[in-house]
This record gives sequence, structure tokens and C-alpha cells, in this order.
Amino acid sequence: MEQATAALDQLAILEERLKTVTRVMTSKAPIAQTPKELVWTLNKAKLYRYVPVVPPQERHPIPLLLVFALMNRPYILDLRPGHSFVEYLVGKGYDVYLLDWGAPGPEDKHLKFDDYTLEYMPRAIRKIKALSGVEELSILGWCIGAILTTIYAALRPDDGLRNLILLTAPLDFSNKEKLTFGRWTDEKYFDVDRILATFGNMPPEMIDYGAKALKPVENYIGNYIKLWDNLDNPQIVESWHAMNTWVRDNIPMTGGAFRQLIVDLYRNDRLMKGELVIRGERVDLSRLRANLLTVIAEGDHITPPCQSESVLGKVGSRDKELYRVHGGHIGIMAGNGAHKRTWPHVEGWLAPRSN
Amino acid sequence: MSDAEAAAAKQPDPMEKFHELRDAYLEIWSKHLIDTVNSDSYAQASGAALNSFLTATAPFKEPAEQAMLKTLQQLNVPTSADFAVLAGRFTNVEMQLDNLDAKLDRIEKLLSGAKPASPVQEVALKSAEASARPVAPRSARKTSQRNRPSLRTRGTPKKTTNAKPGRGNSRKRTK
Repeated sequence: MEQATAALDQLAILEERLKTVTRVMTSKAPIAQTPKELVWTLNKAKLYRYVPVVPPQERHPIPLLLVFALMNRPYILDLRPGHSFVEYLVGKGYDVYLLDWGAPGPEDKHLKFDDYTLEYMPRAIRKIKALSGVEELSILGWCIGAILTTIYAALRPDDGLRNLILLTAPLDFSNKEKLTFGRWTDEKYFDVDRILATFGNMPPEMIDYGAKALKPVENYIGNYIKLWDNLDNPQIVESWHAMNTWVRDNIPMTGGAFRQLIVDLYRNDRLMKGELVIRGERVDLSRLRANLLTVIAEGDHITPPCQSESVLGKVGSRDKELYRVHGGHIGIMAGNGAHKRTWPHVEGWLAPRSN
Repeated sequence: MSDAEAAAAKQPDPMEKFHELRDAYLEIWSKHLIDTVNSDSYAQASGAALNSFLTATAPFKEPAEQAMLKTLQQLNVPTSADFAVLAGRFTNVEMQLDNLDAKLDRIEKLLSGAKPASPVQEVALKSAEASARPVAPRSARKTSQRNRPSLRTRGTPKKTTNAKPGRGNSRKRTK
């Protein structure tokens, strides 16, 4: 009898666990909860300003613009209450803006880095200056957002950019041995023009597969085992749920930008060689003079550290710093240890330079 | 803690060993697969698979697109190409509005007597605007020129609109 009761208890527990797994795998977690207002739009791009929570006299006067990658949603920076980089910065007295590139449609397939860096960014920045009443600003670029901000900073050094923070920035493509993406997209095997002729934009499923296939066991098995092992811990479950919501919410990358990423950067390393041309202007990294903080994730399999290290030797900034964090491409900013390591360091670097 | 509780706490979890074995097994597999995907042979195989997919779908893609195009045209329904053109026009209109917004901001700033930007910033702002400005068709340029005097009649002093952001001027205004 006792055994039967114990078995029934076990079954009830199992049922509860399965219900939790189904919930977190099939529903969307409440994400991007920090209050914000839409202040500017252009095509699919939107600029948000986060509602300040600190009295005006205690705020930093220099606003901060966050620029994320083109093929993922930017709310990874504002994942969930109590675990949001944006919330953290707003609480520290920053005037925070977020540039959301939006999901491109087939009509946007020709959009290139040229459009993002010389059309969208200058306009968004002008709006930030008009709203904040300050002629200078700081920009934080993450992943491909860091490529865009670097190009912009080098092309428009006199546009008021005071501080530049690059997170896991894939800028140097010279070390072919360490770049798995580079190997996959080598012109011997990967016909980028044929793919873009078929799809127009790079489909999100292919980008997602590419990112996950770099670490197949961790992404396709280990991730779910971690959830199963921690189903009794609501904190880990909710964290997993929020991250899974973000991971599944991929967007296409415009054909023009994807082609530049593969041909100009992965195959020919034109940015570091000083050969990248954007709307007829050569991108000369020595013209980048903003104060620079480069954050490298030591365990990054998407942007290996070798891709972000050498930029410090190329830029013209006098004030520059390289900060290494233990963690992965996303984990350094959205992982459980981010609020103890990366966020305080970034904020500590930015604070004296934002007054 | 009583002795019985301490003994219970010390009892080995039967699943612990299983978890250890599972994790060790997964780690070995992980390393093996990371090496595999990071090889030229994997890149070649994935490229070949992708090419096969594109080759297999190509014969169906174009005829399907042509058939859809003809059907939509016969039904007098806009095609995706039409929508793409329309979207481009909307974006262009948005840019024109953004340009107007920028001009209004600058006028508002001058009218409110705000401290003008430094010459370097002014030049930078102008160059950013120039690069951000889309190439408007001749007809659009004519329209914007026609609209210019109406701004003045709305109360903007002529001096302000014509003022060039020269080094000397801006310094005088700052003082």
C-alpha cells in the first residue's frame, strides 16, 4: 500500500514537471518590461527611450544608445525585471536609448551596412541629441551591432560620440583557423549569392541553425537537460524560460548586410585591413577617437576573443581598455553572473566619462 | 541533527552516479562534435547539402513565382513587388519627414536662444545630415524649394534662416 502511494506521488511529481516543461517550451515569457517610450521610427527601425527613475540632478548628462545585432531581438538587454541590463543602467541614472532594427521584410533585402550606419544611425543619433539637449553621447554595440557602431564611429568621428563600448565585437577576421563560421562560409562551399537569390533575406532558421551547430550538444541536448535537472528551482526555470523566449525569436538578416558580412568581413577581412568602403568612404579605424571599452567573452564560440583584441591597436582613441570576462557570447551580459561582473565594470567605466 | 537524519543525509543518491555518467558522456560527445563541425569536411558536406536543396527547389521556384504573378495580375491584385516599391516610397517619405523634423529642431533651438553648437559640431551635424539625406527626384526638390518661403512667412526671421554657421558668427552669438 505504501509503495503504491509512493508511486502515485512520484507520478504526480512527474506530471507537474512535464507541465512545467510544456509551459516554458511552448509559451513566451514576459520580457522587455522596463518602461519605455517610442521616440523615433524609420522603416522597421524604432528608437526607444527608457523612462528615467532617477531625479534629473542625479542623472548622467550624456545619453547612452544601445545597438544590438541585426538578426536577433534587442530585448536580450532588457530580458526580465531584476535581470535586465537596461533596468540596471536606468537605475544608475543613465538616459538610455535602444535602437531596435526590427524584422526586415522582402522589400528590405537590399539594405546594407551602408544604410544602417549612414542612414539610420545618424538620424537616430540626431533625435537623441534633440531629445536630451546634449551634443554628445555614448554608444554600446553588441555583436553585429558592434560592427555597425565601429563603422559609424570611424566614419563620423566628429558627430559627438564620446564613449564607445564594444561587446563581443567580431571585427578581426584574419585568424581563419579559429573562425568556424568563416570555414562554413568559405567560397569553396558556400554560394552566398545563390542563397540570397533564392531567399532574398537570410532566413532566421538558417542563422539559428548556424549559431546552435557551433556547439551542438550544449544547444540541442545540454540546454534541455539543464532545465530538467532544475525544475524544482523556480528561479532557474523562469530564467530559462526568458532566455528560451529570446533564443526562439529570431529575425531574418537583410540580404545586402549578410552578403557584406560574408564577403567583405569573413572572407576578405576588409575592416581591419582598412579596405572596407561604405558609400564611397573608406572606413579608417584610426579615425575612431572616442573613448573605447572592448569587452571580450573568454568562452565565446560565436565571436572568439581573437576577433575583438586587435581593434585596440588600430583605433585612434587615447583612452582605451580591454576587459575580459569569463563567459559566453550572450552569457556575459544575460547570464546569471552578468550583474556581478560585466554590468558593474561597464557602468564603472562609463560613469566618470558620462559627466 | 539526529543520528538518523545524518545517516539519511549521507545516503548516496542513486541518481547522482547516473548524472555523473551522463554529464561525462555528454562532455565527450560535445568535444567530439565541436571538432567535427569545425572541420573542412563538415563545411564541405553542409555546403553540398545546401546546394542540393537549392538545386532541388530551383525548378519549382521560378514557375511558381511566374504563375502567381500572372494570377495576381489577372485578378488586378498587387504583387509582392508592388508592395516592395510601395514600402520603399513610404521609407522615402519617412526620411523626408525626418529631414523636416531635423530642420524644425534646429529652428526651434535658434529661436529659443539656446547656445549654438560649436563650429566642429555644427560641421559634423551638417555632414551627418548631408549623408543621411536621400537623393530626392527633381520634382521633389522643386516642391521643397517652393515650400521654403512659407516657413519664413510663418514668423521665422529672415536673418535666422539665412545665417551661415560661420566661426565668427557662432562665437558672437555665444557671447
